[in-house]
Amino acid sequence: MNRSQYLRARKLEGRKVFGVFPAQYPKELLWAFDILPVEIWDPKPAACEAGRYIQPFVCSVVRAGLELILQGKADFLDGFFFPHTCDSIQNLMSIVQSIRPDIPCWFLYHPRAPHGLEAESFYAAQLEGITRQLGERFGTVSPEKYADAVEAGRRINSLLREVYERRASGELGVTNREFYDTLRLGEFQTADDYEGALTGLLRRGESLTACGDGTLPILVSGVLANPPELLDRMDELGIRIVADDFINLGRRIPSPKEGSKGSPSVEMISDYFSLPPCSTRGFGIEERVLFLTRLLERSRAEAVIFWTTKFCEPELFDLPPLTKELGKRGVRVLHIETELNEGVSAQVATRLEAFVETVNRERGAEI
Amino acid sequence: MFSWKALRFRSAKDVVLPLSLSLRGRRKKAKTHDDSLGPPLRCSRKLKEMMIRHYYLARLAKGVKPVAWVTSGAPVELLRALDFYTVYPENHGALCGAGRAAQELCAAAERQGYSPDLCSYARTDLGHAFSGGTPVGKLPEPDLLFCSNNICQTVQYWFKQLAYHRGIPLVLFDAPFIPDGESEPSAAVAYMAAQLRACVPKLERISRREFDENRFSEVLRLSKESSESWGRVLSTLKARPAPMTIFDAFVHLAPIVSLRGLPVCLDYYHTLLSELEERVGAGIGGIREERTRLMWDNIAVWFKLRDFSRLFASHGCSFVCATYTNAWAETMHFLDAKDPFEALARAYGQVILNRGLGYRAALMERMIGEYQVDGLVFHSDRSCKPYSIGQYQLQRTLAERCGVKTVVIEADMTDPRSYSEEQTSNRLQAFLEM
Ligand code: SF4
Ligand code: SF4
Repeated sequence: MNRSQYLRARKLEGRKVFGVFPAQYPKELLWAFDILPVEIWDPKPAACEAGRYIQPFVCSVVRAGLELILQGKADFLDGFFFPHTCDSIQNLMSIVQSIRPDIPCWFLYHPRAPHGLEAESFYAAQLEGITRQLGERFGTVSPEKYADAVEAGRRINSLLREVYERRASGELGVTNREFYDTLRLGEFQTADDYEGALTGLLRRGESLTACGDGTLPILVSGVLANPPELLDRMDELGIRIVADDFINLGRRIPSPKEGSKGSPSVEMISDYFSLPPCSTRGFGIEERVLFLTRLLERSRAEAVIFWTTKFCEPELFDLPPLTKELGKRGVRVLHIETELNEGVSAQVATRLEAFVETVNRERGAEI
Repeated sequence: MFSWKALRFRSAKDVVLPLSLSLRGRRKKAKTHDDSLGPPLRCSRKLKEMMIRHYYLARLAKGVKPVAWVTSGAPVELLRALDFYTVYPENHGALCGAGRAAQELCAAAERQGYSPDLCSYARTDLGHAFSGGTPVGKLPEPDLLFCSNNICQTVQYWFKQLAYHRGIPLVLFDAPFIPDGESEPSAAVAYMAAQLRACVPKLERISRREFDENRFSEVLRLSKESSESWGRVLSTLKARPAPMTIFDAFVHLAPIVSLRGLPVCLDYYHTLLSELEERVGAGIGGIREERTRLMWDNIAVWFKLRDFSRLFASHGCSFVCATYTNAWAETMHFLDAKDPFEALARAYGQVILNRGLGYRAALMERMIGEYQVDGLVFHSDRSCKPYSIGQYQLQRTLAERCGVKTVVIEADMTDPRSYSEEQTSNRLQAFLEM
């Protein structure tokens, strides 16, 4: 069953379906309302009508998302959710509101770091507002249902942490492609199905041989793992992604919590403010460097690949200082820039190959 | 306490600059004037002197006053109350653009790894940080970076680079975006006001001065009145013929951007306003023969300002309003509120670039009516995503609603590498012949 069939089947079961634009959003809140969020990151629409609405200097995430809507592929949606990720998504929301006034839009502003207490109150006020609006449209939700949704989110996050730990320790020997194909199911599956998929991935890891030796453990940072052909190329070159700082994956996993639990909304707020530092939410260079160096240590990655999406300002601004700081710490860094769904250019392939060769040579010399 | 630096600053401000500027004025030969344009504004000389003075004193300010680099949409009034000397990298970027120095500075930033796809104001400024290059002599090292994302998120990405490279504090005024359909943003106002209150002790520490509430109220009054005066300046362009064009206004905008909250700013706009009223009374236009009235959307193309001004004037086209110049007159009436922090939050949180495109369409529609606009030129600015994404849709909406002719030109406000003379001329020629 492909994504579209899957979504239509869920709709027949009586769920509402929301199209969600990148990146962070209160997934659990939507689940509590029986809304299935389907994230719009990198659909592969055939035609290209978006040029009538946006300039060529807009990133392909926004372009592909708009294209999908223009081609009527979002007609079955019950709503859109726009987190305020960047200036491009911000204006995309206005465009969508004007071309599809029949589909209601919800909006969430990310308070930019550094976060004081006032940021927490503001975030809480927004969640309250969204809850109220959703309640007015779809009926209110019992505290138990809300708590169950938050609990499901917690279970999923802890499974994701386990998946990454096992990957880093070399126990999860699936290909990079399979690894991300599974992790990205969370972009549209229900909480139950996604939990099942992650558990399945962990089990599958047990049945495979360990993959540590002979591969090059790498940390990848960027927006998302697309084009997927690049993952295949990495597999061919013996690269094993052991940790990521992707906006659509690693940066959405909050720190584990211990101790007593609060109300569902208190839990969600605390998870939100424990998310890893992200370029789109205003974090400083120092915080990002600290996070990346710790992730490198934890995952035992031996090099970093910054895999950016063309025209993505938040990521591109941070790139030079991050490269410099990691370089100072002796970390080898490669930057590659790609467009979604446009395959791997010969130039990117060659640079990747050269990088792997250099790192492997240096590793050999160090040993 | 006596200090040589302070003495040097004072004597430059009160003696050396007034003297040298008056000598300079006497020596200066009149520029050749294009026949299609109206007579030049007398005020232009005063403006030039003010800005020379501002950038000259900036060089001497370090060590005498705390120095802050500020984004154009940040609530500078807080800093004025603490006696900060403020420099606006965006204004500096515009100067570099107009003086055709931006390309080289952008290239300096690119050599350090910054992508050519980033905003060219940011690249110009980062290029200045790496190379020291600037057409204004020298900019003072900042003690503080003060930034508000009410115009774009880019400024925060950019200012955090400066904070990293210079190792100085960055204070952010986070202004949540207001989407179309959202009415009173009360939670956002409370959030913004709380941030402003919370940053005062930090600013006091950096400036080593105490926050003076009376001074703060006076600065707010000056800001509000300056903005109102700027609004009245722009309103004179409703007259037929308009007494200046928006290309003039792009230049005369500098004080409201850079000197807001200071008496010189208010004083300047009083003088400009009376000159413009005089011209309206005498029927003197910004161009010799006004036949068509146009509106501009987005930031100016600084390196083409003079060329565009002549081109349109030669076709009898006068630009009479722009969303960009209007932005500094639009929300300052909110500074009336009782709580000054809430007032600042409302005034700065609701600026045009912090609102949805529906709001912008309604504002432009109103302006088209009020200024009797016949046509619209959209500058699709490669650097500025918040201003540019959605313009194609605005173009269709306004053409349909108001029946005006429209054109989109693709350019950049400072980086000439993103500008094609041929493509732009073709589009403008077709537009002018419509
Ligand atoms: S890729 Fe970058 S610019 Fe594009 S939507 Fe994502 S964060 Fe915004
Ligand atoms: S030009 Fe646009 S993106 Fe650049 S600083 Fe100004 S508002 Fe921001």
